Amino acid sequence: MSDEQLYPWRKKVKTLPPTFKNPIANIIHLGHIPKLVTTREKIRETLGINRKPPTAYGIESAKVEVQELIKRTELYDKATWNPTKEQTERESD
Amino acid sequence: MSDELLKQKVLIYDAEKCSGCYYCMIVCSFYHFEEADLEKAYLRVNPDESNPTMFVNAYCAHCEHPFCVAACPTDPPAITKDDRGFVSIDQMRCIGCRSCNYACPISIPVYEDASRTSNKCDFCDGEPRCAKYCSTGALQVVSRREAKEARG
Repeated sequence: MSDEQLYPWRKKVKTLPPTFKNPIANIIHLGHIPKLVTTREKIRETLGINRKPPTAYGIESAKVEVQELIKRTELYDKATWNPTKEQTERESD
Repeated sequence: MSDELLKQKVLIYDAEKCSGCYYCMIVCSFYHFEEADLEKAYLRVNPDESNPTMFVNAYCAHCEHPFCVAACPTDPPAITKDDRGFVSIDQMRCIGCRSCNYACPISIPVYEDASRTSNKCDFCDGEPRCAKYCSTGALQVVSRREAKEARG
């Protein structure tokens, strides 16, 4: 008996719900889910540390690594999200 | 049915409230495997094929008389129903024969290649994370009595 016959309910998750689109878009563009808002940057500055934390927010190579991980986990396909199309739309806006 | 049985906790799912966000599956896999892998979750949300806006959740009901317990051939049995009514698989006793997978009417126990044993929902030891983090309240923990009344 194949796994599909044995586990009829355990269907593969083909697409993620639309609510996942924005967090995924942020991970791809920023390397993080939340955006780094100006208020937080100012607070960091007053504390005497860099405006951007030493993460994918400020380090380009870390962001590229996150993007590579996303590609390899096939998150693009699951989110049914076309990054090239989205990029074009952002530029046109 | 005895009072003890009626007091046992079970999960109840309201399809009308489910938004299909998959948080229950994410939190389940994260709690049990420390990774957000939807394929590893012990419960499964599927789109309802007859109604595209609705979802169906397949989860362990921790039955009164579980088929999986009856089918387990090991001695002492690897699958047991404890005093609280939670049916769980002892990984040290499971021989990976898949009898429980076949016996369960909705095939909730799932065979894991990595450990060569079957595994299933263990009710998170009394506090199911899926119900705790369900944002719409579609999954709830209720007593067996309340579940029976709700289902009629």
